[in-house]
Amino acid sequence: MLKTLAFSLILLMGSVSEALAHASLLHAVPEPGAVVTGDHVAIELRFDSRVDQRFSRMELLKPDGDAAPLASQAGDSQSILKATGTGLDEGPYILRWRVLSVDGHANQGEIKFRIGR
Amino acid sequence: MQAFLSIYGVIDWILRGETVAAQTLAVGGVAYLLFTLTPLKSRGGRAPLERFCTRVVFWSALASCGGQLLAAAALIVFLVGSTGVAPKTAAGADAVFFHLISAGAALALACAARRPRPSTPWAPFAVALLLLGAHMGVSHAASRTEPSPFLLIAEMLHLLALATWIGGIPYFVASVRLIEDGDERRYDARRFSFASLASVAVLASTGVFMAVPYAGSLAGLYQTTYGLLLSTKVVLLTMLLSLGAINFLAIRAPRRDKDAPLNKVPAVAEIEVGIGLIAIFCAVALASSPLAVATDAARPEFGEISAHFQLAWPRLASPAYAEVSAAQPDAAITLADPELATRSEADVAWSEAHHHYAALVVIVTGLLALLANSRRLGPITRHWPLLLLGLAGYLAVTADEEAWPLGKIGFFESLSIPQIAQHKLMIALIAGFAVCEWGVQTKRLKSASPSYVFPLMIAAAATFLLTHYGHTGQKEEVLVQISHAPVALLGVIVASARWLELRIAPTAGAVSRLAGFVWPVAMIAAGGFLLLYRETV
Repeated sequence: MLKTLAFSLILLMGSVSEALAHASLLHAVPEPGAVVTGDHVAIELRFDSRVDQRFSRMELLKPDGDAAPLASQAGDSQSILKATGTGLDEGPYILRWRVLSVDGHANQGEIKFRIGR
Repeated sequence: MQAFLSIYGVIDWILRGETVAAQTLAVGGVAYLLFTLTPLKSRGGRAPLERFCTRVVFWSALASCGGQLLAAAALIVFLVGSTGVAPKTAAGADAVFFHLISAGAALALACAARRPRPSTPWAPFAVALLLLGAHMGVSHAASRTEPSPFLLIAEMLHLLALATWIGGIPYFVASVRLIEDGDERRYDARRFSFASLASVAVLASTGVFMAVPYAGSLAGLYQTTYGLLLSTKVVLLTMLLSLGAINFLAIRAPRRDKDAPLNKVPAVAEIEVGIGLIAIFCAVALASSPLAVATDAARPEFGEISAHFQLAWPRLASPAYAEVSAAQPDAAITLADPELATRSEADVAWSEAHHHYAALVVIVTGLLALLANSRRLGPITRHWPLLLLGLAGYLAVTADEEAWPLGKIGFFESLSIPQIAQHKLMIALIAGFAVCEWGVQTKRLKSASPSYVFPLMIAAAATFLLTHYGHTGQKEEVLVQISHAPVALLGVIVASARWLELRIAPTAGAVSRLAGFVWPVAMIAAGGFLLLYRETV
């Protein structure tokens, strides 16, 4: 018991980033692992809670390692984040998101996808 | 700033837990004055109790106010650090607004408690309702895609019932001490038990009302982090009801001497408060978890769960240290970037074997503790805390295989890694309470306070174990949570039984002996569960 109890603090600290866990992502466009054709991508993230859009952020990590912040567009509801990534070269991308739900809980995550031709 | 951002989740959990606990005590005091004391005020002899109630309401409301202000400040700093907005902009977040409203309501309640006592506490009660209402702004119900007024009302009633029952217990315990007249004391106790019973009914019905849309299905109760936390709360509620029933029967039992004090009642009530506090921290963790109904990640099927708990011989042979990932040349890189970390068969075997060794130590410790009161063996077996000290030393060597003394990371260097620093702290605490308990068992420490270190530390550790999991929704994570929850709940039983043994020892021999039997047995059972611990690659 005591060893597990001791490990609880590892869980406590180690899972801090994941413990910021809602709003949780219900649906994403593009989906994880998707291959998108063209030089731009329309992004839509739908969450299980209303999110405070002023404090929610998205950024695109490009194949060369540069991160480009994405400007949020008005979603159809308070639980949807929208953005468009443009001028994209072929290769793997990572969409990083960070949201604050209206009840004050923060969450973050990422979605990996590819731009193909 | 990066360090703050990485531990913000824990800070938020602690502050929310503290504010809900303080708010429960403050609102519970107002409810106690209104539902238990006010109808009886003409009977006299209650002035000291009333003064005690208003004093505790004042300080707990102030504590709630302080917690809300700190929670708002922490959120502002978090938003500034994580999104780069100006502090003024961050202060405009919806959640900051509700934290500040709650702080204002708590301050108003503190002020109301300081005013000369009105004929009825309806005005403070209205302020208490405002405080609970403001808290709704930072609840699951408020953040729903389509907020439901019924869910908001249910959550508010849930909090009110919690406060009336658990928050009222400290005042009830004080009444046993402060009301001298036996008849009045028993009358008071009966009124409080009636208010508690009504509160339990409200608590359970509103809990079920909220669980249906949030859990989604019965499977959601054991296949998701949210559901498991909810199930844990139900188990804790069952424990609370059992303790409540013991007190209920003790209060109603006919007595020859009407003025005899209710000896066991306060001790059992103290345990109720402790378990209530653990339930509050569970509820706060629940409020930060994604709802079960929204958890679409792969869930473990019932068959997978039962396979995980299949009886198997403990792993008593550990692989050589050279085989584990931490001993490999790229170990430091892996530690710096957890994304790169992969667990090998040897890592799993290492972890399982050392869990099982620790389990055996815990079982032997429990057996020795059980024999500590034996006339023949007691002089030897009462030294059982030294085994825990040995376990702490063993953990210091094996728990962080990447760091000193086994790994490549030096001792002081390892303290800059939060996981390892916290682990070392926990090991130091185990060593500390083992030494303390050894002093108690061998009567080297004469005063009463060191004896409470053991149950309090076990209760705190069990709370952490019950409430903190990564909420990635991964199947393996849920399986780990399922295997840890029984151990943590047994930890709650160990702490409760030991507390009871200590609190009633001078007056109730049989109950004290029973409690002294229960906690070592629960410790042995926890060790038994640990022997079932399994990991996956």
